[in-house]
Amino acid sequence: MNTQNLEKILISEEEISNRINELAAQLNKDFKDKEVILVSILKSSLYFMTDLSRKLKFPIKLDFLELNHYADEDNSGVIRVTRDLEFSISGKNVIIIENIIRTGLTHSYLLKNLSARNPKNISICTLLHISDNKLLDLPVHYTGFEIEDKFVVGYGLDYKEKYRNLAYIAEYKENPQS
Amino acid sequence: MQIITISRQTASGGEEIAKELSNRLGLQLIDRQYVLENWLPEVADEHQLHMLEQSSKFYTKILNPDAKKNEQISFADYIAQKLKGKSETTDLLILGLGSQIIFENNPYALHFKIVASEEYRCQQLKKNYGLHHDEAARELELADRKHRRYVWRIHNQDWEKTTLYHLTLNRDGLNLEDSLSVIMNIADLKKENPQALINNKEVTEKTVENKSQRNFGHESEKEFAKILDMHHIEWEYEPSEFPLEWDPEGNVIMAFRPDFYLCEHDTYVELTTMKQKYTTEKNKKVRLLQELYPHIKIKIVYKKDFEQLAEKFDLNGSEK
Repeated sequence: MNTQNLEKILISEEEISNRINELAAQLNKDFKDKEVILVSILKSSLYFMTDLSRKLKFPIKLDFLELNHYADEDNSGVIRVTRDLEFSISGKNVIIIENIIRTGLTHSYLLKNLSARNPKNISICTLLHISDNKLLDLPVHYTGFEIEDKFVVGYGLDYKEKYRNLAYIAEYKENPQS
Repeated sequence: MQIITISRQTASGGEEIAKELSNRLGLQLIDRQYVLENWLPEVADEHQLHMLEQSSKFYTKILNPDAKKNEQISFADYIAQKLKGKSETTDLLILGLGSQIIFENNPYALHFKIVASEEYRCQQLKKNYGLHHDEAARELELADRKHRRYVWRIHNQDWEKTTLYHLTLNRDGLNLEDSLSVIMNIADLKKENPQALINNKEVTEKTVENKSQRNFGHESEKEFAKILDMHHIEWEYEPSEFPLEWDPEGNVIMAFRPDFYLCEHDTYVELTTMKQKYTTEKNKKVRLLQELYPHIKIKIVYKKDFEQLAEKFDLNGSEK
């Protein structure tokens, strides 16, 4: 893979693995003997979900949710569920598995959408968290790494669908969002 | 409590939508079979139950003819009473039973109708019951007539009247997942804004503010409002002003009115997408506001942050 457009590696494969072990240990303690539905937000959290879920010792079901923004002609638009959950989460413990939380906007919608289905509780577990100047303060229960507000790729995160399968997380050379 | 009613044309797949929706949203599914097995045996003998299974007309019969005139009720009234009682304690998904009319004025009820072309429905009957096309078409005609008659006899309403429903879904172009996604999204949206349909009710004149046509102070504010709308986040534009400095006589000489208030998050947002000198001024005001009103949550969105957001959502991020 062409990695010329990448800056330094921010988080190595080993660091990710170690941190996932720590997160799993915490989750195993908090959800001991409880039944939990892990909801992976596609596509970016796929690798995180896979690696984390294999370290969990309590009974889990895996489910997936995909969101997308639709823009209308007048530039307005809405965020919508494009792939919905398979299981009912009513009365269940739910952990949302996310790869990165940046502004909190998407998660505000996500929490609203899932809460409407009457789960017993919802926790958010994110690998990366940009807390600096986050627009909405939502409760994030489990965080892998706090990072600065940079455009990062790898381990599920992409730039135009590239770099998802990198085993590490790296900064993209030119922030395509600025 | 949440109430979703689903009316459906025969073989349009309304049953599978109702069943799956009740599973996913955790709503108790109540259909005619449930009513016949669980509620009607309390008030109907074997013969009456048989008649209720066969004839819609029988639902108009009085179930307690020995009671006083003003206490007599029909089987249909009894079902309506049971449904209303149940809806006070349980989230319900009701399939058929004229429930779109029983809960017509309930602001927490959402009414959907599922339809499909005759071709689609014949195919379903052929697939499920091995009927030939002509047999299937005849079955559909009879079943549709039965549905229509039931709603007309019991509720004096035409069940094909489109305004009885928040939404009619045509299964020709929508598969099960599409249909569920549409219904669940509406259910999600309406939770925060419950509102009954206004069929047969007096319409109260009310000026509804058209947010998109509001006069914003700056183009970036209009774009930011779109981003909030996109994420279903409720907002108010410049709703409050906070005094920041007073002269010796107590007159306010400096105040600050943040651009947005995000109601559900109890957070004010100030956009600073202008020139640097204005940003410095705004920063100062925000700092003062935080000192004087520490319980107020306020976030500043800087030019760079805003442009990132606008870029992400394909909006007009540049200053105009």
